[in-house]
Amino acid sequence: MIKNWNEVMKKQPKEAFGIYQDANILRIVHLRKDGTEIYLMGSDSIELENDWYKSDQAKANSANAEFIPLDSSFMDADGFDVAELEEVGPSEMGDLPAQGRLEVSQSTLMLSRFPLSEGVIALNIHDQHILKDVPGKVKRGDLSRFRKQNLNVAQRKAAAWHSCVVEAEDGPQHWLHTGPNLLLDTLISYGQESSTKLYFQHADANDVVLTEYYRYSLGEVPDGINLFVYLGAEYRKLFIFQDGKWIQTHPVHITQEYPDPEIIYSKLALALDSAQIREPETIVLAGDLASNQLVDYMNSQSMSTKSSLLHFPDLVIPSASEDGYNEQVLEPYSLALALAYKALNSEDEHFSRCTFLPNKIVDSQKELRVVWHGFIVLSLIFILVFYTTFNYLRFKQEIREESSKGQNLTFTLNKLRAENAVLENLAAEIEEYRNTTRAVSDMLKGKNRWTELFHIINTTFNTHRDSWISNLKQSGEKMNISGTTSRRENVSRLAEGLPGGKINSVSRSEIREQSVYNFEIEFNLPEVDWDEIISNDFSEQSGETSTVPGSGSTPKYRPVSSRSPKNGQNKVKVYHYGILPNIEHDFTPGPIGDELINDEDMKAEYLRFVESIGKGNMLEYRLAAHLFLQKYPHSQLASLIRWWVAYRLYLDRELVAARNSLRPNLVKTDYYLPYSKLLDARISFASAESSFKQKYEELSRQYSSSPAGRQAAIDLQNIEAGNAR
Amino acid sequence: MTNTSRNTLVLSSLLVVSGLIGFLMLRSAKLDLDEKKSANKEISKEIANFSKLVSNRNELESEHAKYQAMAGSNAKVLFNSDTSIITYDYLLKVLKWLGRDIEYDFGMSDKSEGNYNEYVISGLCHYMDLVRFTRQIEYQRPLLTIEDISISSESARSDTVNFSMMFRTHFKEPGLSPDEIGYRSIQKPVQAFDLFRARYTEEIQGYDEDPRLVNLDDNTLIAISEKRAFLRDNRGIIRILKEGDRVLWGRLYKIDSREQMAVFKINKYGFEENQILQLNKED
Repeated sequence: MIKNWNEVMKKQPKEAFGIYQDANILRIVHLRKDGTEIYLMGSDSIELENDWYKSDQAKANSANAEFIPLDSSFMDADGFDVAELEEVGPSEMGDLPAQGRLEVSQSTLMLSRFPLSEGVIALNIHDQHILKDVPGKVKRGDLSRFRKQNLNVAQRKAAAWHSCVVEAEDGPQHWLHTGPNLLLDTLISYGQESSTKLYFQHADANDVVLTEYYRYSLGEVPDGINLFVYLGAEYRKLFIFQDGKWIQTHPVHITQEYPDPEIIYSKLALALDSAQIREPETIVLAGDLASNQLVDYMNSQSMSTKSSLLHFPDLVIPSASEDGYNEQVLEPYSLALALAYKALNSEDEHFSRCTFLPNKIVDSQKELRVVWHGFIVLSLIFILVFYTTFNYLRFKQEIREESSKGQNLTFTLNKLRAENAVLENLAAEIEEYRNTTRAVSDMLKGKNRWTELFHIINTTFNTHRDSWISNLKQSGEKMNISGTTSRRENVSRLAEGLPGGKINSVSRSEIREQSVYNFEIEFNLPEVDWDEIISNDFSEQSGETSTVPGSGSTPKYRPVSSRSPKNGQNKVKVYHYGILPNIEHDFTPGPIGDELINDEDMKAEYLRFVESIGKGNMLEYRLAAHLFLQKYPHSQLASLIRWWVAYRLYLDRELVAARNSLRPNLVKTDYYLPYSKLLDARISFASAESSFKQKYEELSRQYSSSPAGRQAAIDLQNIEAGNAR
Repeated sequence: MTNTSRNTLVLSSLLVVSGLIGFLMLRSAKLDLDEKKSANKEISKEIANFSKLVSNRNELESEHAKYQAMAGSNAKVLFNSDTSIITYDYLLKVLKWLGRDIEYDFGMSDKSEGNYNEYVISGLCHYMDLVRFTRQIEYQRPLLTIEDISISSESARSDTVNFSMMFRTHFKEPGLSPDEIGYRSIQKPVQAFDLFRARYTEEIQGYDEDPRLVNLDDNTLIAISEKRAFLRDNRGIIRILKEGDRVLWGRLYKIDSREQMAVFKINKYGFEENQILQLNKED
């Protein structure tokens, strides 16, 4: 049976325990809600030795009251607590020998059979401790006034009261529970003893929970007069409903503990008479005394009134037929069931939200409850988290921006570094040039003044043509000449004409009776400014070949006039200057020699350069070339590297830079010279220089059979066809 | 302790922990940010420095281009190496460019040092050939410096001189190979003048006169008219000259019929002399 029951279980449902105490009866039911169905998981009932509320208060509150020996075999560990219901009775437990057994109370023993920690607990309060205000006085002031009237100072301070506004027979009514709740105390005590965490859903007055459950069980109370009669051990009341509304409550005064149906019926009739209620439509019976026998009897007494037992809708009773469970069996548990039903269906409209649980209990069960100081802290947390998050995100954003900026700056820096590296190379080359120039200048300082000397002497003597010299020699820093002149005054003029000239001696003699004057003149070697000469030479030449900024500008049409040697007529030839189509692959230079085979590092550097050239990133390939040339300045491949750099720059229209890169190749006789001359001619053409033609002619003449020469022929065809771009 | 107090305490702890975590997070982020800002600042400084450095790129490239152009132009260059063979061949190349042949003796001096070799050449040539040769050595691209020249006249009758020239060939890596050196035209002018040719000599200057001209030393004046002078040489051949007609080393300057003589201006020794032929009355 248990196995089948477990198979029915689909998921862990919400569970509730309904517990009530009426006189010396303590009952509990265990319900589990699974969807719309409610399963009766177990029930138990014990008979207390006396009514807690009628016995000595201390005894009632004592946890040691009604101790009975507990056999471990009674502790049901199966989790299914109904099966043991009939086996453990108070009489049996009372008969157990005390020696060697743990003494526990009957209530503890009963409660221990239920997994109270797995569900919520709903319990009743004792009717005797409920004070009811005049119906309708439910305003805040009325509530406060009523409490002041009925509570002493000690009770108020101890908060030993619980208010509730109940929809009672005469409308909303303030109910004040002032006394102790011994059932609750017992349960709390049990929880503490057994270290079981209990959760109390609500504590209800019997009137409230029964009337609510009555309406809930019917769904809709039929029109007319309907009675709901609860006949408990002590609590016995008649609830009168008219047209679905609870209008009156009357206690049913039956003194017998187990009265006959006739007595019950007569007492009910008496109560109805006193209430001046006409014959009801229906009578629903519940409680310890409710039975089919009573129902049958009442039905037999009145044809117009239909009596029945209280119904438990959607309640699934496991193996009801086998174990004899039916509604009659459950009637004594109807109050406990009503409490448990309410706990499971607290959202249902038939059940009120009213509870008589002490605030302390309610609060203690709200583990996550937060009050003002908590809200302050929460607000601070919120502010802190907001502030932190806001600032953190702001920082992150700024970090991202700085990172992005850093990347850009790094890129710019690398670019500038690369440029600077190139410029440093240029500066180094310039310095080298300067050093060389300075060295040349130093070497030439005070030297090579002879041509100038001859020029001065010749010019001087040319003005006095009847003078001549026979000897010229250097004497220290001075020059000495000895010669002859026919006129004595010439000697002075000659000395004057020479730099720092000084007459050392003059003597007369005769040649064929002709007077002549022999002289010796000392003079300085003339100063020659070789720096200026070199500079002037370059200036004169740069008029043709210097690389002025802007020569790398876009190709332009420029008419070039050339005189036809044949007919002498002026003929204007228009060239479409610009970048010629790419050099055929077969006509481009490649590496020669076995340097790359023998030197792995050089090969790696060369391949890096080739890769950068392929990418076409000017900065990258110039840097790669710079590194290669710096590392292998005397390599055969240096000219090749410079050629490719110049070629790429030429294709990128960086004609000045291209020419600068190519220039060292043009003064070096090696394998790559024809290629360099070809590229030089191309650069001249792109720069709209008239010298391009001579360069191509030279190429065609000197290297006609070489790849460069053949490419030159192709270039000339393209030039004629205007294929430059 | 109530749940609310406990919860407040828990929340307070959470607040403290959150604050601590938040503080650490913000501090970490701030440090990170400061670090990045600092790094960027450093990079910016570097960029500023590099920008300054590369700002004169155009000038530098221009200067570089200029120097490269100078290196590739007619500017002076050093040989990458030198030996007596290289210099000797170079001198022959110069003579070839000059289109003259100057005979000289060539020798290497023992004064050669690390960056130059010193040579001495001595020979005989026309003065102006020597001048032109000197000009080529001094003004062609290879850096050769002439340390000393001494010249003396070889003959009073011509401009041929004996010369001795000491020069140095400078070299340095990376220089140019002599093979890469081509001829460059030289702009430097030099006044042409036969400086060593003696204008006055004891001997007759040159024998390049037309031998068909009248040699006064072999002729006598046999007759004279108003405008003509009649000369007969030792072979009996009579020549008739008028004033201004050329004779060997001179010309007929004047016919003086009254004094019965002809005055000739003769420049045989570098200066002009009057040579007078008197009519021989006996004839």
